[in-house]
Amino acid sequence: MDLLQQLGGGFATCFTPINFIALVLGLVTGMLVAVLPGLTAVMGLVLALPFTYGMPIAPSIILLTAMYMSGTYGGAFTSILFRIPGEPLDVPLLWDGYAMAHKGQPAMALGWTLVAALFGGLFSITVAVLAAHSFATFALKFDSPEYFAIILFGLTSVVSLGGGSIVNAFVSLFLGLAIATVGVDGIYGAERFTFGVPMLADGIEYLTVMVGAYGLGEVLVRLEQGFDTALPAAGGKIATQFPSLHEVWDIRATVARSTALGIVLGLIPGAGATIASFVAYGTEAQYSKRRDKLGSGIAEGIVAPQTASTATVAGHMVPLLTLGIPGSGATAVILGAFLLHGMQPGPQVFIKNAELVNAIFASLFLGVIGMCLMGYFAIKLLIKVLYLPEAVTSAFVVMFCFIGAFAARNNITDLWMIVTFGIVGYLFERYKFPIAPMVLGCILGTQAESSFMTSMLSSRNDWTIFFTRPIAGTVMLLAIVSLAYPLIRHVRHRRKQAGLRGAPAR
Amino acid sequence: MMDRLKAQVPYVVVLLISGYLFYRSTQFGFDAPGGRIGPDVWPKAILGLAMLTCAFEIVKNLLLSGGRHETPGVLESIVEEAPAEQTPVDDAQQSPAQRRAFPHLLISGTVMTVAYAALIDTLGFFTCTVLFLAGFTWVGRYRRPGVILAASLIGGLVFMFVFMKIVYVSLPLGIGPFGQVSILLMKVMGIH
Repeated sequence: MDLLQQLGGGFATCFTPINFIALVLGLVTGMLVAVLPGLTAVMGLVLALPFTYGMPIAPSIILLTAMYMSGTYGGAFTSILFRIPGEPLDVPLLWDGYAMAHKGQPAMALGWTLVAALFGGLFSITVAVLAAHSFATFALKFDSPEYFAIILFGLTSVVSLGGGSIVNAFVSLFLGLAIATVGVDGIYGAERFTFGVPMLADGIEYLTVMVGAYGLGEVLVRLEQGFDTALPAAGGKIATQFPSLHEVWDIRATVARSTALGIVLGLIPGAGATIASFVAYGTEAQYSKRRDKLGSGIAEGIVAPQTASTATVAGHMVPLLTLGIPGSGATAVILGAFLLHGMQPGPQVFIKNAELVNAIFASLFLGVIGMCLMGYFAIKLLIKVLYLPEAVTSAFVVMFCFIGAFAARNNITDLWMIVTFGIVGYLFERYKFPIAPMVLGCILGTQAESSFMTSMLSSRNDWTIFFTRPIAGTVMLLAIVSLAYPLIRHVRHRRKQAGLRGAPAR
Repeated sequence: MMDRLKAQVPYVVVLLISGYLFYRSTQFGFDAPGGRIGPDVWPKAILGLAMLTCAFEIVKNLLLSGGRHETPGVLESIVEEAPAEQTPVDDAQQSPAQRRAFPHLLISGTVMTVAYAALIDTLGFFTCTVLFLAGFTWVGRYRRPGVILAASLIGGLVFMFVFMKIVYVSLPLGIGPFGQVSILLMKVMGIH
């Protein structure tokens, strides 16, 4: 009851004019960003961040979380209707969503997407609200070994769960962690890798790494391709048709499985909406009653990835708000907004700034409903951004990157950082090194090092402290399992393939 | 064999950079009392692991036939294991290597980006931004001069107004005549 009352207060906060405007703006912008191919939700958040500098903290966070939420939904439209995934997380929607549209049922495919986003969003936020308050109380017991173990688990997860080769992901991660060591160290005050540049003594802002690698890097990749995204012909009817209640009831298991997956993968720092979307589709391929028809345009193939990707948003907010650990690029930007407003998220926030936390959760509920309403009524209008010339939008994206970098510290050096990491981001794409581990390493590196050093100093260099404490030990074990899992999966897959090749032909 | 050697270049570069930084980390100035670990331990551990990973990959790729022995992440293996007809062949899903490439555009765009960072203090935010927006759009193969000019000018003015007047970011004004242009625009927009 107490929780409901607090949440009610959160809703009231959301309905103040400035917060409500921020919410609507966030939803619209997130949807636009998701519709545009080449602009991801993370990039959108990064580009929106400078606008929040002059705002109070509540509308800033509400704007960014609303963008994040609708960013997981907007790309579904272009995937289903035009076979253009707005975001990597929308790729599984090509398989059944586009297939259903291709069979002459695009309105029904959009209806299933809306249902999935609505249920996935509402269920996951309810779980997140319940979990976050309890977890925040539990997290008050955490000390530096527990924090180190959780961060390590996040870093190993981003390596093992991502796309591409694991070795490349490790290289990317180590580079990110190395970038995070630049500057004066927090315990001894020693200058590290500053090369006599005063600006480097303050360290390299992770936001500049993100803006450069995700924003400028992606623009350079697309420029090399000549901005040649094939666009569909303008016009055509875009409508949404809802499935019947009976049809929705039939896929309840898919919704339940995918919501649970989305929340769990959201809770794990490092695993994001893209991974959740693919894993949920993969799970349906194994457990769905109609798994043999997957890929031919059935509801389960649309509902599973959409439900899971929307559910990750609420999942990701839990470690961010309760521990101050961002589990994804998007939550890292939101953390950046918190820090820029002088607030460090963590268990204490639930005690000292309960009103803000409740407003954020309430905005998530309103955000899900708002984005679904927008998807139903305004998508035809929003989808017109697809026809903006890519060269013009990209030039503006680069400008946002520059201003974002410049605005943080008013220093030209940050502009050079953006350019440098933009080129690094391009090279990563070119040579198939994933960017996410580098960015996450850069974000979590400082926290990882300080937790490691504090633990080691307090235990007199006894490294077993990470394994002998029950919570830290369990999480360390999970980190080891997360690293071993892709290897085991790969070996099993190869054995299966070898078995198939060895089997006699019928 | 040449291709295989070329593929090792990124790992060799990271190995060399990590090696150099590892060497630099042995020269940090600090005073750690009574056997405590110092601020060099964490960077050394990371750089050591980076070097080991790169060395492992180089040796593996040169001795074994690279790709077949590569362990993919879970996401990659899910895509690999998806039935062939489900795997997207859409244009947007192809890797950069599979698509038509325009290296001259990339070089021009990169040069413009570097030039922006180098010239912003001299030209000022407004002039530099207008020139960049127009140039980058043109380099991006968009060929409607009227639209380019309008978008660049309006973009430059809107950015200046929003960030200087509303968000209070102190953007560079430029020197000489460029500075005068910026000051004139600020007066017109009521930015003090």
